[in-house]
Amino acid sequence: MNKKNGTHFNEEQICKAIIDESQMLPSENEHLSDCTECRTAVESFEKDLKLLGQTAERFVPLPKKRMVLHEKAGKNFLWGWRTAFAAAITILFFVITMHSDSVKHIFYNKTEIANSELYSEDILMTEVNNLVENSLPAKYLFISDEENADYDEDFIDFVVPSVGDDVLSSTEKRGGLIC
Amino acid sequence: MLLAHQKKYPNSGRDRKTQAVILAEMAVAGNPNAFDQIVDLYYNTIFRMVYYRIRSGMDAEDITQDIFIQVLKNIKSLKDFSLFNSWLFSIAVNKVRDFKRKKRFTSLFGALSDKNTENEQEYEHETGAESGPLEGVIRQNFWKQFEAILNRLSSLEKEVFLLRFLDQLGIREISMALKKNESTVKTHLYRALKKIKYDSSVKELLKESMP
Repeated sequence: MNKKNGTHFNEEQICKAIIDESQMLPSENEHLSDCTECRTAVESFEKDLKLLGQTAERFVPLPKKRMVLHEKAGKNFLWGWRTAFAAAITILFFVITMHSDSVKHIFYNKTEIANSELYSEDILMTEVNNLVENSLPAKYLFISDEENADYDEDFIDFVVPSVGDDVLSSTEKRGGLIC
Repeated sequence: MLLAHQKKYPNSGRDRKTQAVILAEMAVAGNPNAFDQIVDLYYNTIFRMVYYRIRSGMDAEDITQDIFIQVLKNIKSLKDFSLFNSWLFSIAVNKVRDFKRKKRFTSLFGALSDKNTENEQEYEHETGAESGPLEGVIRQNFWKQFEAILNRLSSLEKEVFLLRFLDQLGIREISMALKKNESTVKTHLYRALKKIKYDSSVKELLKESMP
């Protein structure tokens, strides 16, 4: 205890002395200058803090790279811009080409394409043939009597004989000749 | 192995600050070499400042580079060149904060962390190769304990403590770098010191780490 200038510094006062001596009360300043014990306590803590800083500095690894400041700043901007532009163009190209028929040939199997084309051609030819045989649609065939068009000609002649045949046959029955 | 800019400028406190003010003025005036000299002058200090906070050499290099790019871009906006040191540290503090925020976000996707740890170990091995394996172990132990001590402080107490006792900034410079009142800085520094003074592990850490 230093009776002349009051009691010894407590922990709080030691911290205050380290942070800013100007904030200390005049009595505290006076005590610190007179009391070797308190001065030692402040200096010891200060020393510890300084040592902590020095030790930390000693244990920081050395940086490996040299700074490439200007190059990086320029390169980053250009590289980023170019990359974005190239990516946009590539995406656009793929979108357009994937939707065009001519490019589909590149991506799909040629045999498959040929088979599908043959199939569609068969369907078309069947339709054409049907139209050649019967140009009318199916529902009109009944009305136009085209449905019975397939009957045998001899059978029709038998049921409905032609006029010419009738005349000849009746004359022949009478046994005379027409001159 | 020391790089050219590491040999050229040893820590010289006030001289360096005066030199930086002159160089900043020259850089703004259009001297192309002035900025390179600022980088040479401050590179190690800023690298260390970042390393104290993130403890990854690889990331510290990248962040340091980003800090100087930011300085290069904005140096013309600096009105008072005498505040260059505080201004530089305020950029550094913000960059570190951004990095930590990003890291917290990416750590949600844990896949990257293993690879990063491997790379970091490789980096530490390469940079610490000269000091030997024992020094490497002591160093690892130091940072582990140092982190434990800092974790007892709040984030602002931690930042103020690091700026004052590891980065060697004055109270006024800290208040400018953090954009806080000087009294707020002192209050937080006082709280941090009180916690550290009562913490016996600081003394132990210093004893263990003595060469």
